[in-house]
Amino acid sequence: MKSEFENKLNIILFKAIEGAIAPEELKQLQQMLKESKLAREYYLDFLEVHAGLNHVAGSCELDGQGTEFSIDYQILDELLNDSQLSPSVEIETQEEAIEKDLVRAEVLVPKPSRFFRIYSQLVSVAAVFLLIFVVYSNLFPPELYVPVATVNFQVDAEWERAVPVELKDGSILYTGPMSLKKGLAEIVLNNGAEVILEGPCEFTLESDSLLFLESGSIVANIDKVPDKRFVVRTETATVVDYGTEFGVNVDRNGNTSTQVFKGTVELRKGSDLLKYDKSLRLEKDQGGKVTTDGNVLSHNNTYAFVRKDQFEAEIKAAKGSAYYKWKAYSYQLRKRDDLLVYYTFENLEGEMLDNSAWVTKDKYQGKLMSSSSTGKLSGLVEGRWPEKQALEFDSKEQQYVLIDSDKALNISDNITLAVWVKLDTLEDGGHILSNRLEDSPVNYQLGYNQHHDGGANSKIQFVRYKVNIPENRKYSGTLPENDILGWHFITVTHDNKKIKFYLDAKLIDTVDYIYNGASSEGDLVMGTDRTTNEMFDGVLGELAVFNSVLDSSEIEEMYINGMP
Amino acid sequence: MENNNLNNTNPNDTAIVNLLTKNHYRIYAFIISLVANHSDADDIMQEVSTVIWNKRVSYMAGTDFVSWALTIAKFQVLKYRKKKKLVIPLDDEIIETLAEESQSRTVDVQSRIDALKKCVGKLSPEQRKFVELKYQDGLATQIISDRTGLSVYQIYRRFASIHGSLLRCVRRSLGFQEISQ
Repeated sequence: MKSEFENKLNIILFKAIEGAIAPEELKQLQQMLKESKLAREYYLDFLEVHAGLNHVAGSCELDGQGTEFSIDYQILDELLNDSQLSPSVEIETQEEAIEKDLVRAEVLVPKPSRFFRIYSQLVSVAAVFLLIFVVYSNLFPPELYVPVATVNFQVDAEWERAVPVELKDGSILYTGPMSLKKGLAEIVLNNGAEVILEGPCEFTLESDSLLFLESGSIVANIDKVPDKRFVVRTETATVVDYGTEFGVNVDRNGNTSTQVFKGTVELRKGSDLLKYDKSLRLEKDQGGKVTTDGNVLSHNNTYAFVRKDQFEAEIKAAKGSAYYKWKAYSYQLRKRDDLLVYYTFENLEGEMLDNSAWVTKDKYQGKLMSSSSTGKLSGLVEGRWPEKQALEFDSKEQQYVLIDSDKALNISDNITLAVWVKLDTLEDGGHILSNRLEDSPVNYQLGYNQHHDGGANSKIQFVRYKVNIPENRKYSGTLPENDILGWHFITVTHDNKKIKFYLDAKLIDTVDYIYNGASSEGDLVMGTDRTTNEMFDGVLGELAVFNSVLDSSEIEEMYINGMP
Repeated sequence: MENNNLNNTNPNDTAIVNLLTKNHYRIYAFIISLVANHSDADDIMQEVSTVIWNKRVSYMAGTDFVSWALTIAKFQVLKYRKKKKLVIPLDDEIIETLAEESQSRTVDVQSRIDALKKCVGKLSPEQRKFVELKYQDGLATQIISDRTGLSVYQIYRRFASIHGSLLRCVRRSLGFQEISQ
């Protein structure tokens, strides 16, 4: 028979455990514990029961199903949700020493939520354990062969270690390690997260919201599941999404980089889900990196990832679309670090033309201009395919595109100029591009069928000079009519010794021209050059400036992927 | 008291991890007996695990691991009490007494756990459901209240009753007498 004493003590003790004890009850408890050994015995037994329930429940023993540790990733998700409440830690400066001890008492740990009380014992031990990966693996092995994702689309994908072995669009993916040796694949996790995998990459699906990336690149899009976290772990870092699109890359040396395209993510040092001592909150267009020696740095690498639009272009290209074949290639091209300017004429906002080169992203926007009395600007017309746009120039309107002078564009060394151009009549053509100021040296200039200028008819012109004399204007040989009308791919390279003229990726002329001039200030101008009144009639479909000399195979690749 | 000796060698990292895992319940039970609150106990348990790991080199094989760990735990409780306000601020004198009496308990841990498991099996289906909600599903009292339609205070009473039942059952299983006052 229970006594009133027991009833009263039970309620007080349970409320104490819950942190809900009233001051008066605390006073009573103190009094009882101080004065009565029986009360202390009861108190100790009661709390042992509580600890014991935690222990047996945490060990899954309530139903007698054994004592092996396991981990509930759903609960881990909740923990990560809860850890949002923990303040993020400012990055130490690089000069600051990084704590070398595996575990420190002072280390900041996201405080487990009340939901984790059952797991609190495991978690506290895990605070030590999880830093030793092998031990971690033994304690919390990912449950094998649980369906967690579906293959959505794949392009030239070649899988290894996958279950099932042959994956098709729509195949179910199970927890466990796998690798994409080549190609691209998009998988959709059961929690709704869409993940683009870029081969080669090795990874382990740990649950429907947790992916361990061993090497390679992925891009995750979690816009559709804003109420649930998606987490990417690597050997050196943990990336936690907060409703976003982000990329994660693990390079050959094991460094982890992440880039945020939308929303927010938190980049944490270490692969421990529960414990970390440095983190970096990243917003849109910000990137970060965790090095193998534990440094957490700001690091922007937007162009390193295959995002949804590129992946979709790859899928459509694989289905035979010439436009998307070009577009898919264009995404690769724009990631080159020697590509300074790249106008695809796909993006025109008002009078501003977007530059698509990644390394100069957000710079070198072109402004549509006109020197004529009407002020009529160039307009977009159909390009090489119905889906593609191009920019048309009319010499009578003296139309041009102006990019203000910038030192990086004032190139006087290795250079490649590449342009898709269409002339409808032999009267079309002229000045396509130059980098100069009025009455100043020319850093570079490209012309084609430049009848307006006299003497350059049916030729490709490349100009570079400090002194404006006719000998400093160089030309290809005369082109037949068929090589002038319609769409053609004009490329000129100069290594300061030889100028190479290409038409549709065929080398048509090489001209010796030693040039040692230092670069001069100059605007980049497409179309009519208002300083010299060299005009242009025709349509530009794509224009690129590299600060390197492309070889013939690279030029051929551009041509093959861009030919109408 | 349990004696967790290693065979005449200093414990390596794995051995310490094993000892910590094996005796986790005992250490946790000791800590919560000194602070009477799960939140503080969880925090201190983390710190104790950390300190044990950091001091693993100083642990001498052939000595009593549990005794060593409980000593660390006691100091961590006192240290924690100095830097943070405990949810249940028991007097130092009471903490010292409870620590002494808790450490001197003679029934081995496994017997208590075995007894508790049997006792849980004897609970009514409704009581078992409450235990599962709290300790297996990890639900907060307020959520259990929302789910069951009972008030938070009623939930406290239920759990107080369940704990009391389990406590008496364990005592009976271990051959102890019930207390009354």
